[in-house]
Amino acid sequence: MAAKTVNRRRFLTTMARTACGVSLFALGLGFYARGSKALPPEYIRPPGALEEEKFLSACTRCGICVRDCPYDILKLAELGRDNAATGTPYFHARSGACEMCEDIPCIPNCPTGALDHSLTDINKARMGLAVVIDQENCIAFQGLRCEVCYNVCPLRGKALSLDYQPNKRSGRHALFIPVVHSDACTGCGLCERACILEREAIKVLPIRLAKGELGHHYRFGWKEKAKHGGALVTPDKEHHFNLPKGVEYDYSTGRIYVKNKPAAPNAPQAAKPKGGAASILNRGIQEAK
Amino acid sequence: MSICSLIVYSRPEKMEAISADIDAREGCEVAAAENGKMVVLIDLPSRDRMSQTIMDLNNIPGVITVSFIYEYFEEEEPKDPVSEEA
Amino acid sequence: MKMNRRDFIKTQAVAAAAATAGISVPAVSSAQAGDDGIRWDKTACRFCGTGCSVLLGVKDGRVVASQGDPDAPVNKGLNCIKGYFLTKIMYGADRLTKPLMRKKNGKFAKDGQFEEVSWDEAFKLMAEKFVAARKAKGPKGIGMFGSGQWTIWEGYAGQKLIKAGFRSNSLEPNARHCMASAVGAFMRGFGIDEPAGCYDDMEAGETFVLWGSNMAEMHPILWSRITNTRLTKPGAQIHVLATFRNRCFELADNGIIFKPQTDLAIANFIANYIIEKGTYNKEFVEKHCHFTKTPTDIGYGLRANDPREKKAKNRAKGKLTKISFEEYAKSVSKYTADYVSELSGVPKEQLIKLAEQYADPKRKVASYWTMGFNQHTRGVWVNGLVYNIHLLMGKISEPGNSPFSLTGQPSACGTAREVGTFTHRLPADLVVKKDAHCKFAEKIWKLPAGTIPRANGKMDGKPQPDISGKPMGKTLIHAVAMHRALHDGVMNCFWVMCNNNLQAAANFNGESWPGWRAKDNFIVVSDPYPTVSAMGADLVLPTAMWAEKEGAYGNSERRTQFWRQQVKAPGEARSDLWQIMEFSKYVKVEDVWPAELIAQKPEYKGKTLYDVLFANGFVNKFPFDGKIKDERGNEYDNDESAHFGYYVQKGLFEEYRRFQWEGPKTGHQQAPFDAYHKARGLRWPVIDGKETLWRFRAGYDPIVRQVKKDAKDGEVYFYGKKDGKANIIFAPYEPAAEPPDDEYDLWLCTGRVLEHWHSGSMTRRVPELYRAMPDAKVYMNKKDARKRRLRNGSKVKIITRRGEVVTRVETRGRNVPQEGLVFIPWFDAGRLVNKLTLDQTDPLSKETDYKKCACKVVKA
Repeated sequence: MAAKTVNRRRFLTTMARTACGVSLFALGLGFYARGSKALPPEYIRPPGALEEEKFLSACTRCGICVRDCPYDILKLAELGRDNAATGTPYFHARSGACEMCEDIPCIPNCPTGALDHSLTDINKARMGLAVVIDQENCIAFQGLRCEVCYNVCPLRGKALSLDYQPNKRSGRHALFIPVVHSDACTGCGLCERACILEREAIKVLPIRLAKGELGHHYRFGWKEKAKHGGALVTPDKEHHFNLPKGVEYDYSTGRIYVKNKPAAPNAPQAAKPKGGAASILNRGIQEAK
Repeated sequence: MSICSLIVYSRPEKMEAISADIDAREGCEVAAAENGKMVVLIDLPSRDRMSQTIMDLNNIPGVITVSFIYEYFEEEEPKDPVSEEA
Repeated sequence: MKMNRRDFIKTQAVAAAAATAGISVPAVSSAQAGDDGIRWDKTACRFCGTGCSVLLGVKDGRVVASQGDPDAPVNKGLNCIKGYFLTKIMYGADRLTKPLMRKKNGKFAKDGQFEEVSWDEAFKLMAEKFVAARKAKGPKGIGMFGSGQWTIWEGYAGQKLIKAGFRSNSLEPNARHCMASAVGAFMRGFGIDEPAGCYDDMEAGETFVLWGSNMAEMHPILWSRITNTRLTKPGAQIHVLATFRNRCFELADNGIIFKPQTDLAIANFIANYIIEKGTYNKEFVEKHCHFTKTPTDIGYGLRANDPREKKAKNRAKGKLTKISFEEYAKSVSKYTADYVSELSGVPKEQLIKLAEQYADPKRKVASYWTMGFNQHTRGVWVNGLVYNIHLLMGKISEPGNSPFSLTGQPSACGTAREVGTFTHRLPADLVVKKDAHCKFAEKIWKLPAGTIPRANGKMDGKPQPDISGKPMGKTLIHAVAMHRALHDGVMNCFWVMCNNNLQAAANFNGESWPGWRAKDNFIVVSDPYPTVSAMGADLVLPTAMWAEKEGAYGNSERRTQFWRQQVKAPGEARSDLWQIMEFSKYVKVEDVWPAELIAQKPEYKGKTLYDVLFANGFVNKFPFDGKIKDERGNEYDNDESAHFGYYVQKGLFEEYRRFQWEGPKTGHQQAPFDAYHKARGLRWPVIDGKETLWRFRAGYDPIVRQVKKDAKDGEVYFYGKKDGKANIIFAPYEPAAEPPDDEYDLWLCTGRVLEHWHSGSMTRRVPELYRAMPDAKVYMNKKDARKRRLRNGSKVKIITRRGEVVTRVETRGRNVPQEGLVFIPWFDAGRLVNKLTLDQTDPLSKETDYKKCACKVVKA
């Protein structure tokens, strides 16, 4: 891919520089007005991009961020083709995701601050939010062992974690369900690029599209408790129960434990229970005798 | 192509008549029916016509409710994934 | 195609609605069963040793669909992503379809360019070269390097060709790099190969300990099972031991990072802990175990002139000496928590937490290990140290209590180990060291006595005559020694089949490459794709792979699985089985056998090896009527049978089975050929049609009562040993061969990732898998990176004493090494990791240690 992108990028940046921001502005005003309606949801702005409306008014379409991207994933929207405001930078995660460089080279040379210079920790970037959008086709939801999105996530465990659940259908395997956490996901899109499906089941979306919002009155109790470091009200007292002798009850799990039960005959030298597991597991070995 | 499946609920005694009605409609097919529940498959070229058809089913006298279960929609035929490879 | 796709979507739509409504739709199931014209049949996955069953859908001679087999107990319809993309491995754009020979001016030339040739021309040249080398250089003049991915009959046919036909023991599988240490420990400990337990231990167990096994990535479906048990069984625990933090640690109750090589000390600490606590199973140990010790200071399997080898007192020695329990207890007493914690860098609490699991007589413990243990210069020792722990506690051979060595290849067990395609082995645990075993094989194979070369080249104490006119001498030669022999000109012909040894073998620059390209050497590579090995070859033979032939694999839990040929191979690609058998037609008995030998069987005069080995009245006795049929009336091709005129696979398998049922070693019995086409795999020994889940325990294992008639239900008897007793073998901690020093200041550990399988020759051709994991990066601890002014993504050079590789640094990847260690996967043909590695082996098992050598990492 390199040669082609680099040439186009060079062309655009050179053009931007020679024409100077002003004349380009004057020339293109009409187009911008038309093209800036909305960024298509599959296009993602570089890290540190201001909110879309502010970004569009601040971005001079100079192409410097595109030049500075060491992985060549940033593009400048082309007139009439890319459906984004012409000349503005974006990337398309499925074909090339942000590699999350630690020094964020695309930002420092941005002349207008359309890319926010105060962003110095790439982990704090919020380019978008990954969403496991198709849970029917995502093979992890069916119990297949994939987890490619999780494996490639630069903030693995924080932005994308796995929720382990028993696979009720097979009865003996587990599901490894990918879960995105908006407090850490930068929207880099590496998960979307790596998704092994024909069409990706995980996509980075603009945050406005991706996120729901909890009713402002409501809090999740367990999260508040964790945040607070303990119960928000007076802690519960110790409970006592009427129980038969030798029986214990674990209040938190609701499980009953029977004490003093003779040890299960699993010590190797112990005699097997008559018939027992062997007869079931060895497919009728008892009948053979 | 636009394909969807629905469950159409009706009073059990009216099921047979409603089922025949649905079957007669363009793009509609009753794939299974039991105790007032009918699995209906709709295959129509456009989504507009599909949504209209679903609305129409809802309005058939005797239909209690229609639940939408599965939709497949595709603008153009994708390439066969395997042969693309060779 | 269009209509079918539409029908398929409709079927799905109806099925979804019907499921929701809770009504059955007869039309749905019949549509799925094949109204779309797809023929479904079962196969075994082509990749790891888990042995998932996969259903393949074939239409118009092409595999068009696949699904995990919902009725297979191993995977219940599931796959990992490699399995998900299985069908694509046959359809890479660069499949080899014609034999290719290096030529100049129309003639073979070592320095020539590859040109297409006919099979006839290829085999003629091969026969000329192999016969000449065999005559001139003796049994080690030629070699064959096969595979744990060979089907059972391919391994068996290869073994007959080399050991009986060419009268050479220069046959090795790539499994030597993979689980030879596990085999060594099984033989020393139990006198018989392969695990006592099975995968059902993953549900029956309570504590699971992974020793040097990144199961989360390398045995994904098994990890899924252990995860489920951990989630659903109250009190279940997972303990993970590794030299870098890997995906298994995410679920670990006790994630232990230890310094490389100190696993030896940790295992001894556990034994010591058990003895000190006094919880070991006295009755079990007295009745069923011997205490022994193994010679120490045994070297590192390097070349004899290496200073480390010269220094070793007991180079490659392994003869066990009996000791008392007290002596054993004294030997391990040195391994206290304090000492081992200091040595290994593992906090004491973690060590004790682990030891408690083993030491608790009531707790069911299953231990799993893979390459971390096997690719180890003390691999046999360390395997044995874990058996010691299980034997001390009697935690073996019953549900949930299971020391279990997992294999990396789909048929490392089924082919390499059970058929015995190693230099020292014959089928069903027989060995060429034993005259009686060889004579038995010669009887089954209808060969003159003395055909098979003995390990020492002597039969009944007398030298075996050889075509070279010289004494045979010592005939054993293991995988790493083969590359050295090629380099030294001792071996001149080498046939590599079904593996990518030039990419896989250690020390590419120092040994492999110069040996392969030495001007007197002739290298043949059979491969479906132009791999690194094919590039290093002189003759490349295009191979029909996996579902393009009828096959059989044996997985880690002794489960043998068959599949039928599903599609035809492209162009002139032919299966390994066809290649071996067809090639044998080009060699005459007189070319490779001395007159004395032929005189014993004058009827073999003038015959080809094919006549003697395959058209021998047994292998060719099962008729083939042009098509293979299944119970549902579907028809399948069988290109080998069509070519040779009889049911080749059945003939070979049934002859092989005679070794199991009539041979001097019992315990490997498999069911008749036809049974396997019907079953989703059977776990051997299969006696009277019944499988064996747990071995060595009466009631579970019918062999016990064959050997010890009065054994009561539940009684343990290790029948691989004459007196039924297993060996507890003391072995100490000894340092690694090449620890880091001031210049090469990091440990280099190599391995694998979930997305790619071994050298990546198949998975890297699947675009989705390639995109998911394109290149091998070097995983490094952030602190180590910072010290070298590197950060994530920095381009670096990894340098060892043997070579260098350029790649990028990964500091935030799924693997997080401990400080002082870097990890790099070896799947990437663009970054030959084995330019870096040292060709060190376990001196006993001869398996390479790919996990430990010294390197430095600098900015590139």
